[in-house]
Amino acid sequence: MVDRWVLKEITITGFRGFVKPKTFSSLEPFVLFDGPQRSGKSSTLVAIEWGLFGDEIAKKAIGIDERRGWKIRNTNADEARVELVLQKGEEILKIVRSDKKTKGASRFYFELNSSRDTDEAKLRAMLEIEPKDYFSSVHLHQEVIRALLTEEPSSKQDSLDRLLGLTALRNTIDGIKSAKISEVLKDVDNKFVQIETRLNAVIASKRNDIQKAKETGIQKGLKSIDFAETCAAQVCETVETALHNFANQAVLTISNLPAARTVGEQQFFVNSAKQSLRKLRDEQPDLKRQKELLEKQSQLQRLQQTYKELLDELQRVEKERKDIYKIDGNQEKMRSGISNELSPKLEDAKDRRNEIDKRAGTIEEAIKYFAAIRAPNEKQPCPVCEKAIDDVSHLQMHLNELRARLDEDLAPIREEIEKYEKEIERLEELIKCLNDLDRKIRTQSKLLMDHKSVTETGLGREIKDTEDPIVVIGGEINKIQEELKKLEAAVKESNQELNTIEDDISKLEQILMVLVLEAEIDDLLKIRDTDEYKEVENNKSELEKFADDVSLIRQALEAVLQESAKAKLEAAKENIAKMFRTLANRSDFPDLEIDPDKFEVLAVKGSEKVPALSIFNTGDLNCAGLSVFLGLGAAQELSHNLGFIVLDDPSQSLDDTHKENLVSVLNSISDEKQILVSTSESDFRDLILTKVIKKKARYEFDPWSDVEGAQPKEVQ
Amino acid sequence: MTEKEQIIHKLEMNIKDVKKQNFLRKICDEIFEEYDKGSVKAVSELLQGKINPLKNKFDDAHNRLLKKMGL
Repeated sequence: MVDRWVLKEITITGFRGFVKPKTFSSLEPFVLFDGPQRSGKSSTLVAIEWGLFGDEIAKKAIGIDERRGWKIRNTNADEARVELVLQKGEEILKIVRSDKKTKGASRFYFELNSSRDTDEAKLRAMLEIEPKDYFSSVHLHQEVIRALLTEEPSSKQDSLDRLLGLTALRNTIDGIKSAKISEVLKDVDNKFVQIETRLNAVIASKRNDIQKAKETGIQKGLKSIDFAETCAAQVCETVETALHNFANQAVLTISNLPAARTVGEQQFFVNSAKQSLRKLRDEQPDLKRQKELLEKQSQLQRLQQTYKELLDELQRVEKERKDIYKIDGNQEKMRSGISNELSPKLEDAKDRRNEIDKRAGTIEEAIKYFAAIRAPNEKQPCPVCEKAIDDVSHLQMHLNELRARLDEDLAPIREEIEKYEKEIERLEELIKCLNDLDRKIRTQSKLLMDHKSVTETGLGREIKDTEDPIVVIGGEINKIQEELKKLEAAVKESNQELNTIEDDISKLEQILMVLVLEAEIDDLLKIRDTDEYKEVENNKSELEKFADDVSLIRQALEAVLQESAKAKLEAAKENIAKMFRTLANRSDFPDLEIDPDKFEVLAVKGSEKVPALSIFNTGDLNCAGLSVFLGLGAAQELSHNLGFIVLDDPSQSLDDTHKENLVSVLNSISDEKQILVSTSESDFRDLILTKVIKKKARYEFDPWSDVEGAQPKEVQ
Repeated sequence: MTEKEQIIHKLEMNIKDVKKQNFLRKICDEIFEEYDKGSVKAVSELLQGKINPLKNKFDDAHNRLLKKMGL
């Protein structure tokens, strides 16, 4: 203990459970912090960590899950500040850390022999300790012991990693694993293997296409030996000669065809030959004439048809007019009939009717008069002479008879009037109809004349008035049809020649298809020599090289992790076993070991070793955790320059005997280490106060207050 | 010797090529630097950030080759 740093004084302000400054100034070889749960004991112990290592204690690398989202500063304080005073022999080391940024002042510094420094790395080098080692051999957290008790392999391994200070190494290895480089490699390997598979599939497919192309070629008249470049060249020559011969015969010109020595040139030749063939088909004179004549024939047929339609309509209208003339005469005759015959007769009949109507009107009035008389016996004046009449009813009878006779006279006159009126009306309608027919005949005649003129243009000659246009057009159509018959044979012959050339081009295409596919297969068989394939190979090997490099690093990490674990466990082996023997004091399995390969805590009895979890109770497992920690902390081989250990509530889950044994263990290491212990258990506190041999400082914590925060007081 | 120095030492023992040693040391430095920044995820992302461009390069070349093969 003499040659290592021990704690002499701690001052805490605004850190976690602390609000106001509190100083622990009498730090003896054994320091006890006791009090109820949540009174600030753990904050005091953690303040030492923060003073030494700052915010790194809350990093994930430390492995304490409880510290995620940790708040350093108390919500009622405006600064978190920890001052530690350590002593080694005559040397005094002061470490100050604050979370408040003050202008011109560093948030961290340490002073040694009145010399101030702000380099944290320098302090760690001087203390020869990193945060992870602090957690494995200086400060024991209950969380580590709790995790050791679980059967969940990853938690157990994490716990042992922390006790052995291997968390960072393990997490780095996990980080490498979770990059899933092997999956990337697997994917790349699959794709690379698939290149070969797909290559074979493509070649097989092309061979199949060759077979089909050859079969089609043979159906077109080719032989098996024709599927060669020399044969293709010969066919090109034949096609070229035939095209030029045809062009010469038809007095047409075609452009020169390209050379056709290689397959590439021959493919180009095929396109040019097809263009020339198309040109010859379109421009051959007989075909051209045939097209012109067919067009002319169609035009004349249309003209003939239209002329027929116009003529038919004219004739129909003229016939209709002629029929009317035949029965009723023309408009003049009808008008004369109306004015000279029908109208005078009508007027006469109307006059006669009016005369009778006048008489009938007077009688009608008289009848109404007599009908209105209420008392027929009363004498009434005569409506004519105004003399009184005695027998009115008699007169009334005569009047009715007279009226009936007048109606009989009027009936034939009325019929006569109606007959004349209808006849006049009919004739007027016919006059209108004849006027319309005259108009239509004029229009239709004009259309016919116009069409005749169009037909003359179409025929290219005049149609005399003595000629029948329909017959003239029909004659012209007949001439065209005769010429077309003659042309048909010539066109057929030309087309046969061109079809033969087309067949040769088609054969050439089949040959070329086979040759191109064969060339493609040759290229595919040589794919491994291409730049593209080599690039894929190179990229794959670059990936594999990187994966190998990472694998080497991972292997090195795993080896160092194993070696480090083994070295630490080997160095602390005796101490761990000794601590466990004292603490657990089991007769069946007195010793404890840790398998550094499997990270398994083993209960040992001679040569028999069984997993501790299978036989230990909670108290024994707690003893196991404490033994590992205290064994590692006490091992001289695992040296650092801190001469104290911190135990936060170490007696949890221990029975009375275990607690007494723990005090014995603490006594056994108290010559080597200053011991800081926190407990909320009064029996363990009393055991410490009565059984711990070393000089003690005791700080009792009152219940935590919102305003004051932690309230420790030194108990003498 | 720190753990990192032990790892480098192991790599140097197994690999004689100085260039490769330097390369591995560089990756090691980067891995530890990322880990110190925070987490397992940071290490994983660092390595993925290195292997993914290589994978993309391979995929591009692979696609070009398949195209050449008519696929």
